[in-house]
Amino acid sequence: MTLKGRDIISFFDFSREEVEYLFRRADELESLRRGETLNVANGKIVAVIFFEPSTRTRLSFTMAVKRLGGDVLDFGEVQRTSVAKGETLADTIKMIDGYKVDLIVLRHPSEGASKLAAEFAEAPVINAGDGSREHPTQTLLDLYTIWREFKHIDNLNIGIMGDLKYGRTPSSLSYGLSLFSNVKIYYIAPEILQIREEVLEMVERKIRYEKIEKLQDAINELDVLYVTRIQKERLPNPEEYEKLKGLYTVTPSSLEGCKENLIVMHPLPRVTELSPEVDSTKHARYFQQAVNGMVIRAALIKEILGLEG
Amino acid sequence: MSEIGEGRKPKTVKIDEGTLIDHVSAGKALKILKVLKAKEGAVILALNVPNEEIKVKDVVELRKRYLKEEEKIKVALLSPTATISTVKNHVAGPGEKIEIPNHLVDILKCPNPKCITNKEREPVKTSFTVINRKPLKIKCDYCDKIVKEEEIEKLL
Ligand SMILES: [Zn+2]
Repeated sequence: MTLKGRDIISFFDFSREEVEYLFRRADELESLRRGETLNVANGKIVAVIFFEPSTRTRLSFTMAVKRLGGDVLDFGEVQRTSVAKGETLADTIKMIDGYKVDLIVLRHPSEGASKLAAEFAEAPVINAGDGSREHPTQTLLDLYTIWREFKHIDNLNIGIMGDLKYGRTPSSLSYGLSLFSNVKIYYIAPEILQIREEVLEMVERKIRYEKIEKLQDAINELDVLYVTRIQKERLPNPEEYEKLKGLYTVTPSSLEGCKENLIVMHPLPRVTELSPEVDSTKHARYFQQAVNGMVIRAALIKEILGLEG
Repeated sequence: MSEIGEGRKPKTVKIDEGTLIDHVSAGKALKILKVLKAKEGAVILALNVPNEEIKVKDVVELRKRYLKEEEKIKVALLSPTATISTVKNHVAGPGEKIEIPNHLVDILKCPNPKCITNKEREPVKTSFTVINRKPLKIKCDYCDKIVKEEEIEKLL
């Protein structure tokens, strides 16, 4: 199996075999978690081009490259540079690609921007977010966190809770889970924030699902509880927000009756939907999730660059 | 490519040279003219003509005008029943029914304003993939936006 030279535009570019292969390769990078730096990417330069701010994703990619021993060419705040002068994305990409960088990591507000970039760049391109769609390494890190815990994803019961309608994570996680078999998703949300039909249409032949309003109705079934934030501006009025905020906050007591090995995930940053008391329970995995993100990105970059060791 | 109905036998038309678009779904003729940017005076129209196969049809004759491949596809997107034939000396050749290809490149705009293909000056052609034929559903290759048959008309 080889991912060498591949553009990573959409999560759908991966097969299940490739995803699981990446998970195993990521597990081999255990030393990165101890703060070690490998020297496998010596002399390699990765261009990190972010046309909109996303500090966490950018840090994660930068750390991944540096931990592999490679160098990062960071384009800085693009808004303040060339785009302000009206440069097209195609021109920016051609210019960077002309430096013969080994890989381009791109975040851009236009949907489909990374596909366009891949058409103009000789170097492979990783989509780090374009517009409102999923970005493949986010889905990869969420699935990797689950896989790392259970060593499989088939047959698991996954609860996804919060703003399922407008949030980016619930839909992309659903698509990601649909690569596996016999997964059941519990969509836990008030009616007005329930998962969109178009998402269900895409996954319903591959997964089983149930829409429920209360976490209590499924807590004993869940292997994974993925909590997401409910945003105030998505709701008709502040009173509604205050009401839902309380109902959709996870605390140690809302986890009562759960399976022994339930894991709780969250994309971070959190606000009030996940109480800090959950941090000290054996179920919390959200801080590991961030580390897993760096490790799986490192594994992916290593494969795309075809690095040995 | 296939032929239907009267397209098989030679048909006499009003224009001397040009293109005959027959079996147009009733009501679509004017839209076809608009999309093809047909010049006034070079067009002969027959609207709501009774027809055995599609009940009523519109017929468009274009004088001294021959359609490019992408224009034929646009006609087919507006009216899947349409047949296109070349006219010589007032006689129309065999009617060609246009098969909509699996990939539509530079044919229609993407309705998603955030799509990169709608970004000014970006050197990119729109590109769609057919994901369903009946009813027609196409997907933008850049932003994944799904466009339904009835929405296509205003994007040509
Ligand atoms: Zn589009």
